[in-house]
Amino acid sequence: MFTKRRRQTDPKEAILKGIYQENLRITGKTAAVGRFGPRRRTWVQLAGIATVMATLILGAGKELKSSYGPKAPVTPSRAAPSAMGAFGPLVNSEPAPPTAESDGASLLAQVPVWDFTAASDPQREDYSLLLSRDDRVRLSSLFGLEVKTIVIDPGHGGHDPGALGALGTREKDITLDVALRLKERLGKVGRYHVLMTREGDQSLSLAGRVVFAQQHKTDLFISVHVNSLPDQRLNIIETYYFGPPLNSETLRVAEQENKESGYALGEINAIIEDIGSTVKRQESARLAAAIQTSLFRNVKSHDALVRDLGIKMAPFVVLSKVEVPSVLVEISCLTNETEEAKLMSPAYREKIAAYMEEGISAYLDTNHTIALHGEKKDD
Amino acid sequence: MTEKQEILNVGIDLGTSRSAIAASNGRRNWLESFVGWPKDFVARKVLGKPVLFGEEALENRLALDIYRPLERGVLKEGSERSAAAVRELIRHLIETAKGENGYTQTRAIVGVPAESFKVNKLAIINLVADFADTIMVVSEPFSVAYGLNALTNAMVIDIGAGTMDFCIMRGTMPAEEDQRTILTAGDYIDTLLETMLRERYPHADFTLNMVRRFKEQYSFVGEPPEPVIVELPVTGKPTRHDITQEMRRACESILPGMVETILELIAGFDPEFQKKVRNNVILAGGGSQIRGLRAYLEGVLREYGPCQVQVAADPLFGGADGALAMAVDMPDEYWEKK
Repeated sequence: MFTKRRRQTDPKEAILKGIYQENLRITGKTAAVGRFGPRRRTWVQLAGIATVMATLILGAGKELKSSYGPKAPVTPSRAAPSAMGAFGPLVNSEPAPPTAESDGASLLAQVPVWDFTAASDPQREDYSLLLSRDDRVRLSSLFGLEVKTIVIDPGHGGHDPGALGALGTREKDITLDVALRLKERLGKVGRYHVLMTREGDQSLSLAGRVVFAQQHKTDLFISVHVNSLPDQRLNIIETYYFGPPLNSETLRVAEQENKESGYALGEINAIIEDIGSTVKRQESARLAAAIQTSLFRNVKSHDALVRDLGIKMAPFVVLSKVEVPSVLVEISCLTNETEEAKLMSPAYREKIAAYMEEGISAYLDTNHTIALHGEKKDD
Repeated sequence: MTEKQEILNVGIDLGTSRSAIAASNGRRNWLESFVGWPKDFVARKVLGKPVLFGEEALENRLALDIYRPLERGVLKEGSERSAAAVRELIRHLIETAKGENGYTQTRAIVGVPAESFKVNKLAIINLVADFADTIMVVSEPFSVAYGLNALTNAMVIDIGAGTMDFCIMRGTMPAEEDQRTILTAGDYIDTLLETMLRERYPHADFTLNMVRRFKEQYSFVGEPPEPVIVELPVTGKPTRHDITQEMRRACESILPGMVETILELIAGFDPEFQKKVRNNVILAGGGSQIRGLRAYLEGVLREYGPCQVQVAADPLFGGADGALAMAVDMPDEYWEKK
C-alpha cells in the first residue's frame, strides 16, 4: 500500500506546485483572482479607459494637445512621436523573413513592442510599469479586459468564390466549413458567444462584414481564408493583422482579399490612416502569433513540406474597421493540388479548425493568466 | 481509521488502446479502451450487464454498440456517445480500484497526451469529476518520468497507440517547449500494416483488430529476429502468410519522426548537459516493446556521442504508477474540492 513519501526533494516540490498551477489554469480558476477586479469589461470600454490613462500619463500639457487625437495619422515604424497618438511611437520591426522552422518564440518576438523609453517627459517616469517595453505588460491585462463575443468571418461567399483549386474546390466552401467547425468548437468551451458573418453560401461585402462585427460588439474578429499562389508547388500558412503593408507580396494578398470591399477609394485612404489603438495592435499581433504557431506546428507534424510565413501586417479592409483584435488567417493553399485534395476531406478541415481553436485558446488563456509583476506574488 | 487513511489516491492512464489505473490501496487494473452497450433488450438479457468493457466487450462486439472513445489519446469530437463511453470507462476503473471499501475522498491524477488541447484536458477533468472528489491532469510522459524518478537530465518517450509523447526533464515542471506529441504511433503502424497486407494478400480475410494483435506479438525494427508467419483465413481456410517484410516496414515507418523529434529536443537542451540526456533516454508505453527499437535508437544517437536508451520495466502501468506517485506526493493544500 502506498503511503505519503517522506523523501521530497526541492525539484519535486516545485514540480508538484507547477502541476497544481497548470491545473488551475486549465479549469480557469485563476481567472477569478486578479488584482484589478472582475474581468468583465469590453474592448469598447477600453477606449474610454485608455483615454483617461493617457490623460493621466501626459497631463494636460501642450504635448497632449499636439499629439492626441482619434485620427492621428500613423506611419509605419519609426514614426515621430507626435504622429503616434498619446501612447508614443510604435517600434514595430518588420517580421523576420519566413523560415520553415519558425516557432512560437520567434513569432512572439515579432509582436510589436511599444517603445516609450524615448519619451522625455519626466512625468512618464512615474509610469515605468505601464510604459515598459517588457511585452509581458499588456494594457488588455492591466485593464482586466475579457473576451465575451467572438466573430468568425468565412472569407468570400455567394457570387464570390474566392480562390479556385485545380480539382474544382472553391475557397468560399472551405472557409465556411472550417469556420462552422471552429464555431462549434469554441462554442463548446461555454465561455464565449460565437457568431459568424455568414452561415451559408451568401454574398457579403467586406463592409458588410465589418458592420456585422460592429453591430454585435465583438471582442475578437477572426477572418478565415485559403491562399492562392502563383507557384503551385508551395503550401504556406500565414496570418495577418491590420497595419501598413511591409512588402509587395503582402500588398498582393491584401489586394486579392480586398476585392469587392464596398468602400470607395477615398474611404480606403482614410481607413489606412486610421490604424487602430495600442490595444488593438498589441492584441491582434498576439492573437495572430498564437493562431499561426498552433496552425503551423500542428500541420507540420504531418506535412513536412508546409512553410511557415509567420505573422504579417497588411492593410486588409476587413481588419481595419473592426475596433477589436482582428486577424486574417490563410489556413492553407488551394493552388497546391495535394493540399486541395486534403482540404476536400472533412477530417482534415476538422483538424484545421482544431488547430485554430488551440491557438485561439492559447491566446485567451494568456489573457487570463498574464503575469504582471505584482501578480507573481500570488503564486 | 484516521482521516488520512480514508483518502484514496488514484493515478489513471487514459489511453487510446488501453487504460490503466493504480491506486494507493495497492489495487491496479487495466483494460482495453473499449466500451460496449447491448444493442437491444435481447442482447441485454443474454449478456446480463448494462455495459461491457475491454476484452469482454470485444468478444461480444456483435451484440454491442461498441466504442473506442479515445482518438490519439483525447476524446473523439462530436460524439456524445464517446463522451459517455469515456465516463463509463473512468467509472469502471475507479470502482474497481475502490473495491468494496468506502473512502471519504477520492483524489485522481489523469495522464493525457503531452500537447493535448486545453479543451480536451477540461473535458477529461469534467468526466472524471463525476467519480472523484478532486482531479488533476498531467502529460503522460511527464507522469512516467515522475514515476521513474527521472526528473533531471532525462528524456521520456511514451509510445502509445494514438500518440508518441516526448518529455524532456530539467528538474522542473516541463514547459511547453520541453514536450512534443507526434501522431505516428501504434495506430499508425496498424493502419499501414493493414494496407500493406491487403495489397500483398488481397484474398486473405482479416480485420484491423487482428493486425493490431500481430503487431503486439511480432513487431520489430532492423533485422528480423525470426520470420513472422501468421495464419489468415482465405475463403474460410486458415492459411499461413509470411508478413516479415511488411511488419518491418510498418514498424520502421515511425522511426524518422521519432529520431527527428529526439534530436530536436536534445539540441534545445543546455549544451553542457546534452550528453547526460543522451545517456538517459527512457522508452515507455506499449510501443517500447518493439523489438530492436532500443538498439536502433542507440545506434542513431551514438553518432552524436555516447548514449544509453532504457526501456521502462512496466510499459502497461508506467503512466498510471507515475500519476499515482504524484497524487500521493501532492500536498493537501493543492487538492481543491469541487
